Amino acid sequence: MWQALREELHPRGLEIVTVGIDAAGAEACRPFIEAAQPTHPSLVDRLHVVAESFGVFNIPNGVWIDEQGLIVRPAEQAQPREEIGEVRFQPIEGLPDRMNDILAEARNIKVDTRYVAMLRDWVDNGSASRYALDPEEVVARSAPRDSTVAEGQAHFALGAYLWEQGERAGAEDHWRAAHRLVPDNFSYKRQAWSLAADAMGQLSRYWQGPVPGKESEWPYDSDGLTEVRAKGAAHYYPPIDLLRTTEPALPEPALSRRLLSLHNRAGPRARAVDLLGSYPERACVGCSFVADQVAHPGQVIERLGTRPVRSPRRSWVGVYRHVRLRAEGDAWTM
Amino acid sequence: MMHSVITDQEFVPVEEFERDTGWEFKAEGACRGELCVPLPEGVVRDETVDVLAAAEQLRMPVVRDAARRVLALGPAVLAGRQLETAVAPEVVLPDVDGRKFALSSLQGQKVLLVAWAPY
Repeated sequence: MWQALREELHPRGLEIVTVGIDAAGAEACRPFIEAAQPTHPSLVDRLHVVAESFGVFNIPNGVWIDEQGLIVRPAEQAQPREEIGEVRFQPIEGLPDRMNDILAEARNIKVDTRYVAMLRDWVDNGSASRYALDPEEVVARSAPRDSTVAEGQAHFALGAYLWEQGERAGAEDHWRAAHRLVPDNFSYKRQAWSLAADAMGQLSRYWQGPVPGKESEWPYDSDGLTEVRAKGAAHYYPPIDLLRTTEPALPEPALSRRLLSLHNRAGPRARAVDLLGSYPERACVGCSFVADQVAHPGQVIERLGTRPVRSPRRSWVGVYRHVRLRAEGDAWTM
Repeated sequence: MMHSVITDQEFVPVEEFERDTGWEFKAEGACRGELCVPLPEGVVRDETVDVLAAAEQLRMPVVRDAARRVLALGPAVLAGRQLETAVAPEVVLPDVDGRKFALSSLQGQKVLLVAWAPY
């Protein structure tokens, strides 16, 4: 979806740079990046340099930088989707209970779908956009950093360095310290949890908690499911703070426009295809977007609930949620 | 790049310190964007930075791991926020095949920087 947005907005002067943040390195990001086939720079960041440099506390997050190299919106939740359907969670057969519980919670995570409309407004209006902030507000809105937070940041970086060196126990020691010192930083937690349940096979990155039967070996104070439940899924991402709170809500983009664009790009004879392969490849083959698909276990459900579509022209492959394709005729139905 | 310095030495080359922290040593002191912090004599000498002295001046926390013989400096605590300035920090990172890309090479265009993760 970032790639689709890039195609739309690059001719109007916007470049998108996606950065996969993962101590597990490039190979962990590769399947997602290759599936997305980005034409924009797509980078990998083992040591969380981008997160530290821009004050990113959770993912996915976006930062706007203008032509002069000035940040005009600091890190905040960034969703490429303009609508989120009301799909009730159905437990997935064959998945362990914990994974289904995680998916059910993730389903309730509240995301702000106004981001793309805000972005278009900025691309078209530049500094006159009501969403472009002045430098003082950019600094003031960035996350706090006192000496406790900074110390936590040093611990996290040391943990990432030690992980890279293969010093697992050392990484866990310093990441645990970082979690205690900067409890609001969810990237720190998700990163650490995602590497600690490696006995869970394909689910290990998403398990984010103790391995059954080895609960006493879990190295962290909390885990993904516990933390999301404690915080409440609705509060997982801080809401986007528009500049003027009295601003009228942005209009919901018409669903028909999306269907039309699917038609235009995939051709009227595009049809759903079944893609074989194992998770997460199966889930992501044909994705035209990466970041929003993989940034949270919640996106696993998005993928499982998504129909891959393939154009007969073979020029375009994509995935659209909530678009049910009828094989007969040229009609697309919802 | 603004990134914690990790080293097993208390003196590091200026170039390394500048690369890892985003602070540049100029006549005025240590600078980033429009912000400069004056430094007393001796913090930088012969193209080498006294890491602990610089950390004290820039209010960077120091975390030591004695067992593993390594120390890390946290980011400077000056503005009370993650961003001290709206000037975008330089970031140079590899793509999936190791080719390096500098964010600053996009000056002149609007940029949306998206942080994501495969977990």
